[in-house]
This record gives sequence, structure tokens and C-alpha cells, in this order.
Amino acid sequence: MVESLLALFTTPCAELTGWQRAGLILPLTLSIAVVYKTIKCRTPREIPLASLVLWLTIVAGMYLVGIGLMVAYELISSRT
Amino acid sequence: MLAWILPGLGHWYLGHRARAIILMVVIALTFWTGVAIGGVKSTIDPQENRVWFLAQVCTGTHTLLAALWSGRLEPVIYYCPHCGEELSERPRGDTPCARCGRRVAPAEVRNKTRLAFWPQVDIAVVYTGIAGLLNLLVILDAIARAEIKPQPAGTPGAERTGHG
Repeated sequence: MVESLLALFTTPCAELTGWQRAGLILPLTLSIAVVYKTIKCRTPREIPLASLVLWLTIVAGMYLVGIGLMVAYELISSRT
Repeated sequence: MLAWILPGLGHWYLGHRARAIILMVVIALTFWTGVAIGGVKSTIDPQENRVWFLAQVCTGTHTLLAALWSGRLEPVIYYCPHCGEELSERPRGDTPCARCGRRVAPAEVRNKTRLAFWPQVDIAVVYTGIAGLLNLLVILDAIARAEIKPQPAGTPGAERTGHG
């Protein structure tokens, strides 16, 4: 039990697909949103909702930037 | 100093217990998720990722423990070809396996690397680096909160600065 738990941290995870890589942005941005709002909110009661709103904003913004860059790349590469 | 040693400890000391618990859990989870993605050997590497290590070290105890662990691990794991038991080191001659007792020749030993490659290592380093930078923000917040004098009870907002 302990050995398999330690092995989780000593051996890297298996190959990640493109979607898995894109999905790994979700927990990271959630951490950023929660830590930022934990510092910023006046009372701890405000933290969950404020974090959720910030998280959704960051995720939507990042994916929109990603989609925009992908479309720009496709357009440029199709013309050349 | 407390906020650096363990993320959230500074807030705990200042009486913001709820905030402290949230910060402790979130920063620890972010850091160790990164380590789980890339493996401790590749993720915490002061020689290869010097600048990122400066960010990682802001998580204090987490990075120090991980760096110690990383330094103790060999980059390659050797297995017994008969039973799959992990060997303590690469066999030089015919070494008996500690589990099954059968002799393992250097030519037949199985091995697996502990090192991660792109993209796992990059994602792992970013996760742990971001955890460190978030704790830097937490340290600055703890310093700012420590400098704010507690307001007398009854004044507007007095309950907000107290035990968070």
C-alpha cells in the first residue's frame, strides 16, 4: 500500500494524449483561483463562489486564446 | 518565515484558521500533483531547471523534502526478470534476488527509467513552480496581514480582520 503510494511520486505518469494535456489546465487554474480568492475575499464564506467565477473566467479565457491561436495557425499554414 | 516553512502556517499563526487550511491543502495538492505527473526525480532537479527550482523552493518544506527524496533516488530502477521484485542496485555479477532467491545476471535484468520526458516533465515543473509562486503570494499576504493592527471590537469590519 505504502510502496504503491510512493511509486505514484517516483515514476512519471503514462504518456498523455492531447486532450489529457488540455484537461490538466483545469486543476492548475482552480488552484490559482482558490489561492487568489482566499487571499482577496474579506470573509471565507465568499471564497467558494468567487473562486468558481474566477476559475471559469480563466478557463474560458485560456481556451479562447488557444482556439484563436489554433485558427490563426490553420489559416496561415493553409495559405503557405 | 512560518508561511515559507509550510504554506498557510503564517495565516494560521495570525488567527486566520480557515484561510490557512485552504491554503495548506490547495498548495500541497498542486505541488504533489505536479510531482505525481513528472516523478520526483525529473520534477525537482536544481541542475536542469535552475530558474524553476527557485520558484519551487518557495513552497518550503514540500520542495526540501522532494529535493532530498529526488537526490536519494537512482534514475533507473532494476527489476528481477523472474519475480519482478525491485533490486536495490544494478547487479554486477550473478546476484540472488532478495524475494525469489534466483540468480540475476546483468544481461537479463529488466529496467525502467524514473525520468520523465516532454510533455510530462514540463507540465510537472509548471505545476510545482506555480505552487511555489502561489506561496510567494501567500507569504506577502501574511506579511501584510501581520502589519495591519487588529481593529477594536464593534468597529465596522472588525470581524473581518479577525479569525478568518
